[in-house]
Amino acid sequence: MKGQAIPDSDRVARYCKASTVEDGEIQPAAFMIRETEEYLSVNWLEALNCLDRVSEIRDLQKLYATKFNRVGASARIAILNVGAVRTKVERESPDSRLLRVLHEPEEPTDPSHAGIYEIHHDDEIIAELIAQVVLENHPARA
Amino acid sequence: MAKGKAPLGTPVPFGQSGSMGTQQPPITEDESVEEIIWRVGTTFSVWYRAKLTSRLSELQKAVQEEELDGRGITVRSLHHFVEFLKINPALRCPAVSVTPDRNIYASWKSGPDRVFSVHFLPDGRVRFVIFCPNDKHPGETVRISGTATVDVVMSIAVPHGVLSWISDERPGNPRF
Repeated sequence: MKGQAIPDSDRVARYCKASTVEDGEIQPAAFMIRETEEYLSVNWLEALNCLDRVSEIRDLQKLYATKFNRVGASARIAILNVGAVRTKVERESPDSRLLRVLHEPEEPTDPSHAGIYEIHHDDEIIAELIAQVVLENHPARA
Repeated sequence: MAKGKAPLGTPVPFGQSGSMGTQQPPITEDESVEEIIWRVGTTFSVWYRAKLTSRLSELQKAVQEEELDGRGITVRSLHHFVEFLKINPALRCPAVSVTPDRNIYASWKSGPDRVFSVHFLPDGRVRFVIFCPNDKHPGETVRISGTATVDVVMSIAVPHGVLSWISDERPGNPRF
């Protein structure tokens, strides 16, 4: 449902372009947005309704292949726990920022699409904090 | 400590290169990204120039492929990044990535509580992030972010102890 808050126990995946990855390590630039963007785009893993992580990653790789101009060989998928991101940023950002993670389905092509709100385009410190709580790092290209 | 070495934290004139960097031809602001990368690879006197050249070429190719318009890294952001490295030759090679606005983002890290990152904006300003240990409260981290210009950002960062993790301590480094 559009605008539904994603539970803290759930996980989201961020597509990290090749230009935000060095030697396989996801850099904070992967968690920055343009001035024109309202939120940081992610995908809600539980909304994919897959049986396991391998299937989730496969589904995301298929999605990215159709959604993005070109998925670079070194592009990655960052897996984040919603609660861990929100807690980290609230505790460690200078303004105790309260992020909101909301379901933003793009029907019919990307129903698991979601957004991390309250991030601004000049929020390098928030990007740094999010980069510190990446749970898993997978290839974005099959 | 080796003879002749200055201890970490010793004030050094950052922004006033005492190395061969001062003798390198200047990078002009009307160069293309490819020309700047070529110049880094042929004239830069830092030990990591081959690695840096390779990384910048890789990033330029990645950005051109990712974006529908085929444009690459913002030239003036790259220009300021390279100028920053030229006037601060005693630094380690940073992790380099590209922001959504196609600007250069450079990071020097040593664990979650030792971070110095600089976002190079096209107009010569920078936005920076510093995470460093709170010396008076073990386990606590000081977190600072702000805006400055390329030429003064090091003088802002140095008092926070960043040299302890961003400096290159290899023999021959003019700082040591």
